[in-house]
Amino acid sequence: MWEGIVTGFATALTLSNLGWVLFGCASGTIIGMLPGLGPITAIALMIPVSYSLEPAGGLIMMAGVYYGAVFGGSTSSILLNAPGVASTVATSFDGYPMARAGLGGRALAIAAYASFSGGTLGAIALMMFAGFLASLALQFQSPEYSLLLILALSSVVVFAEAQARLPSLITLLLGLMLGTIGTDQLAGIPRFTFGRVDLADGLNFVLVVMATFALAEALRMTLQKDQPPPTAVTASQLKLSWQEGAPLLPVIGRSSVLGFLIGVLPGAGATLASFFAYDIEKRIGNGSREAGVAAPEAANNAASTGSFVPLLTLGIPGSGTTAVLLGVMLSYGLQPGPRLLVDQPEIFWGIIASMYVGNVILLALNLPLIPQLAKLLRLPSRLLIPLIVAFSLIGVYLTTLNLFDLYLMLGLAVGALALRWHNYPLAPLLLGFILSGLLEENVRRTLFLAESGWLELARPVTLVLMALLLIVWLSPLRGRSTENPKP
Amino acid sequence: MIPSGHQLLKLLILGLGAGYLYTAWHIPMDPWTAEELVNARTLPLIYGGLLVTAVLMSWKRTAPSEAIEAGPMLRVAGVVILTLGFLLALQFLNLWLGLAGLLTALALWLGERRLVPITALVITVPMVGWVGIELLLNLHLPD
Repeated sequence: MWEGIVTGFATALTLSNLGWVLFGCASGTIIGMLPGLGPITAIALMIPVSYSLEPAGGLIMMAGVYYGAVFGGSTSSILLNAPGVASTVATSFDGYPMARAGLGGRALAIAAYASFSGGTLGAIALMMFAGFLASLALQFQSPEYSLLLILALSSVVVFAEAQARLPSLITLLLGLMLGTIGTDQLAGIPRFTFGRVDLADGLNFVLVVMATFALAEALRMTLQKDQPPPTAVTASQLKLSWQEGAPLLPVIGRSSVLGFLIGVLPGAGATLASFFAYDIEKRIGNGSREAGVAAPEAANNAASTGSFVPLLTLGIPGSGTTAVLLGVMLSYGLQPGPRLLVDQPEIFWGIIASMYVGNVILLALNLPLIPQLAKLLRLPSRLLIPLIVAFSLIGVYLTTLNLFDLYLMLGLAVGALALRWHNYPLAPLLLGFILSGLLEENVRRTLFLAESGWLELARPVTLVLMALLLIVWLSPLRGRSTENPKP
Repeated sequence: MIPSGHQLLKLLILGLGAGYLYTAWHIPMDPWTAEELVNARTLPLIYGGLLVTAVLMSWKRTAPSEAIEAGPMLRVAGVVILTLGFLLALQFLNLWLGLAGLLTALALWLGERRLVPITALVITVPMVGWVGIELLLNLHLPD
């Protein structure tokens, strides 16, 4: 293994590859900050550039684009409450209130440090446990996924404040219902489309997230009186003292481990990881806003790294982003899987080494930019609101190129404003929407399997997850709910 | 008795749940799919049923929401109407030109009267969008 690591660093640390990872991080950050453009789009847009490079350089640059885009998404999530990708939604729960309270620079700095730590810890775990985890991930089939998803959805309701449980359940169900719009994945039957072709593919994620978070936030700001702009962010605010940073270390540590383990599972890895990490932190941690930013950021970056496990060791992409990366690897004539480590160790270890290098470069590149980015928050609301409205409209139009979706977004935003005004949390709605398709697919497959006998489903992982689910469902009876602020 | 805003919202969600249940029940299916234990209707019927139950359970619950005055409500209505106007205009106008118009209208409606910030906003956002998205990223938006 050590020989491989040395080979990897020798590949990643050549001057040209360092240049490409720097270019990748910078491009990824800028693209990720644009409305509606997430890591998948960023990588897809950089494919033409990667063709002009040799495989190691191209893949190392792509890894940089990936991290940059994830961090860029967190920036718009914290500053504008406009998460461009599902995995940064949980960051906005505490990040955006921090930004509105004049702590935008601190929130961005914590996000940068947590992303760096999560990504680096994930890379170490990838190096050490890749083979073992890949074989474990293969144990996860539809019954296990169904239980994991039900566990995630249950947690968001059960761990809410006692008086917020019913509203959380209502918005969660609304999200699940929104997710059923479109053609049924298994039977190919149109549902809730009312004959409209625009709805046949279902609602786009960017549309729902921009409507419920960004546009609804702009409308909510319109309802409120003008508030004085937050104070300017200085470079000194980006430094965390030991007293401030120490409580975040365990948060980052446990969120990274959790994120990496969930990231290894194919599916909605980074999204589930960030929501789980946020919920767990609110339940067992000190509940501070800083921890609420650090946990999802560390988890989603570790999960992004974890998603490379099935790609590199089994040749199975675990997420949309790694599916695009698989396409890039295949276009280079590389076949990811067990033979990659044997046949082309410099590629395998080069990608892993570039994860460390990419994380360091990303941190060095983005910390100086934070004070400039945070200036956006000093705009008075009469200028910030038009900016957020424009940002949301461009984001959705750019993603779907469909005018109907813009009307739909406006309608959903008005509905989201009404829900929010009456203290219905919107995070469960978004989680329900994101996981709806995956849940239905797996539940239906599980029940098909169960037709040949329920005992078929009694596997060790299933039983553990069922026990966990039971504990979660019974926990409110023991009065163990904790404070869980949600937007 | 006039229902409060919160009661009205719950009534709306209840109506939505009932409408969803009705539509779910009428999802068209071929005879083979209809015979399956779990089909395209199953989960929607469960979601709709649970939503109606949850809303009914929460009927007596009052939310500690703030009262909205007529002024801010009018401001929100203005923002929504201006955005609707922009969407209608998009059928005839280029996105970036339309966006410049929307930004101007929104800033004026929300009380910005200084020429420099308005001009900066109106020129910068569409220009950055056009250069970044259409020229650099080569993504062409439909006219």
